[in-house]
Amino acid sequence: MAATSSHLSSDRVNLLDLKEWLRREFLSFFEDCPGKKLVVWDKHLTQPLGLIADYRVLKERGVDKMMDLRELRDNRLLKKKDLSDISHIFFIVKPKLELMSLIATNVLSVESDLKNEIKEFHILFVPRMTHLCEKKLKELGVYGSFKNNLKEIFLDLIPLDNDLLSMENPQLFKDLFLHNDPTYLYNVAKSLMTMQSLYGIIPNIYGKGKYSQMVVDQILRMRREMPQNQEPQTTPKIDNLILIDRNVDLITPMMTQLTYEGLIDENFGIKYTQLEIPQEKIKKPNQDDKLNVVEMKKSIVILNSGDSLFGEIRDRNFNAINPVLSRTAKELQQTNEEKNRLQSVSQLRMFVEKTLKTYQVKKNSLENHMTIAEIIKELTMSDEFFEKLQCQNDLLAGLSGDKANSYIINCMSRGEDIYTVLRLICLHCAVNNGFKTSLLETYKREIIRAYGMKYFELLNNMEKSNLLYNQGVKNFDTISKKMNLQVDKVNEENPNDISYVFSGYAPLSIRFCQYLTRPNWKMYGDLFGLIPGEFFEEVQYLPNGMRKRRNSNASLNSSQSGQSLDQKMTLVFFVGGCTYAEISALRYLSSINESPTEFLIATTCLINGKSFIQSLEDGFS
Amino acid sequence: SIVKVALKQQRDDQKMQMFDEARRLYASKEVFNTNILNDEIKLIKIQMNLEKNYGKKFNGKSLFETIGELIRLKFLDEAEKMRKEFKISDSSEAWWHLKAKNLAKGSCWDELEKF
Repeated sequence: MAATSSHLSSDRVNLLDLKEWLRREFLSFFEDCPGKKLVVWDKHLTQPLGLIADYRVLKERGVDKMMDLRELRDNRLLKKKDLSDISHIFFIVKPKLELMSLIATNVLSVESDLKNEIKEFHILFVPRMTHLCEKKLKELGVYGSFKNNLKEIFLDLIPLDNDLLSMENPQLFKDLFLHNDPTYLYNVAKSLMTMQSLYGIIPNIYGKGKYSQMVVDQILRMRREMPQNQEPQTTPKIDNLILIDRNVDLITPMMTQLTYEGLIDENFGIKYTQLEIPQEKIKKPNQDDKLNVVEMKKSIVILNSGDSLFGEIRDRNFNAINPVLSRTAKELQQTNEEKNRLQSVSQLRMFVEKTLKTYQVKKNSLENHMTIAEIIKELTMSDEFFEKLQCQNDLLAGLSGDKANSYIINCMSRGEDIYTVLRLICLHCAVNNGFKTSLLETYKREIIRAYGMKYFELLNNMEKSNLLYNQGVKNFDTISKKMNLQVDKVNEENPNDISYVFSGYAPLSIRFCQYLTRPNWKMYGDLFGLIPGEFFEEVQYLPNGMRKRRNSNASLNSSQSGQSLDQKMTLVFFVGGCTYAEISALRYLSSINESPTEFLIATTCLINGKSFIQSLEDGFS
Repeated sequence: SIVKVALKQQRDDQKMQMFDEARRLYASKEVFNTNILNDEIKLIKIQMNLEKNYGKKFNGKSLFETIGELIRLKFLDEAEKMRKEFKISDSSEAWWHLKAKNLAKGSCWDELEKF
């Protein structure tokens, strides 16, 4: 992941520091172990740890072989042949009890197989070891085999890009808002402590919602319990922390994202910055048309700001990416023509050395994104897509009120994708501040009639976690007007407001952040009160000598000095997930000239309406 | 919950028994869920009958899916019977969609034109 190319790279808070720190920690586990090593993975961890250190780096550290732990069961346990000249065996796992049993079976079989050879066993727990796991290893009689080799790496927040961190825990919303189980918030708090140890104590904390409050309480307690001499000796690089419970804004995730990256996620799903396009979606190359000759070597595309073209289009409204694509195509063509004009061999050599590599990278990227954009274009041109957006607008405008929306009912009888239907119903519920009992029952009955009893539990779970609920205080209209959520004139190409991400709707969660980071935010106090979730504010006092020298009032005149040093840095943390559209909106706010702050984004996971609702399904994990 | 267990049952009669049990548990307090379960039990009974009479499996299908399948297979009388049984108005848009779409899918062009 290269930080250099992004328009958002910041010298002040470089998330690559976190990546570097994690990388050093991770690699240090291999360093004191001479000889060849075998790594046995919990396969859920290969992707996140792959973002920290790739296989090449592990190879340099003597990792000779890698295997999948879950495959090493029954008759396929580690064998003698797997272990010739291996001196160290590393198990890299999440702290799960069933994995401890698998490890134990393998360790015992290796020990009885190879009586005379000595192998050293290690377990690396991600993100931390638990007492239960230790106890289990003792019970299974293998605790002694590990001696001092039980280690942990605090991979709570995974750096996905130079302004984005995610814990990649899609289960958390369900844990919190369905089961009222806050156990995992400990990891959230710990991750913020890690951030503070790297980037300094964050002086101002704001938050919305009870779980955010619990996280902050834990941070403050952890800091109180920390010995004085362990306080981070860093001048604060982050000025504000804003925590938001996901259920503060349940409208935004239900809306269809209209940014490029948002639409990619909605249609294909992005995992650990990787997009996998099903091969059948890729059209056969068209021989005549040069630009359409697309041969994706792999159907996996890496989506991060290291790809400068993607960096430029990811946050744009999908309707506004064409100019960038065609400009890039023209640039490439120019380079190509330049090449043809070259006369001498030395000129040609210069070209090959200097330009050719970037040319090739750019060309590949352009081809990839033209293919993806074409597939998405087709989907967004359909009548269904248009009607869905129309329905969203009608719902936002309050046109359906307490009556069942006829488009939603039609979708059901047509057998449209159930998640499309559920999203629209949730949106209707959220903007209407709840349903009358009879309306909720109508929707539920129709869902069961159209899609079957198998959705009965999901509907119940959605009710329990307040995605669907009975009538509350009607105030969405007021919130919408006062916070200017519905914007008529949207400029999709050169946006002047965050509402461009939904072509006319400004995400409530981000509008909240926008107002909160204004110098005069206190005047919005009453307004914040209308949005669900308790608002709170905390100040953390800094260790002596760690105060900033820069003038704290400078934001008032920052408009004169442009993007001066006085621009603040704000970390927004979504407890329960956030969407790509919200990230784009925050990036937009960072980028505008007179912005009082830049934003960093952290979330417990990345969601879209479908994955969000699916996370409430039974048996989801 | 018991509904969850019921959904896992392979055999229709067992599934129905479990739903019946769930209905008994809901009966005193939750009218809506009781009605949902009444409908479900009625649906499974009809599906079992259809399977017996026509040798087609309807097991696990929703109400709309069952009616749709009947229309596609040109068992229009059965579909009509179910419509009345579940009080779906024949002037409702839902019914119109269900019928038009599945007549087309089953290539019943004459019927579609009449409709």
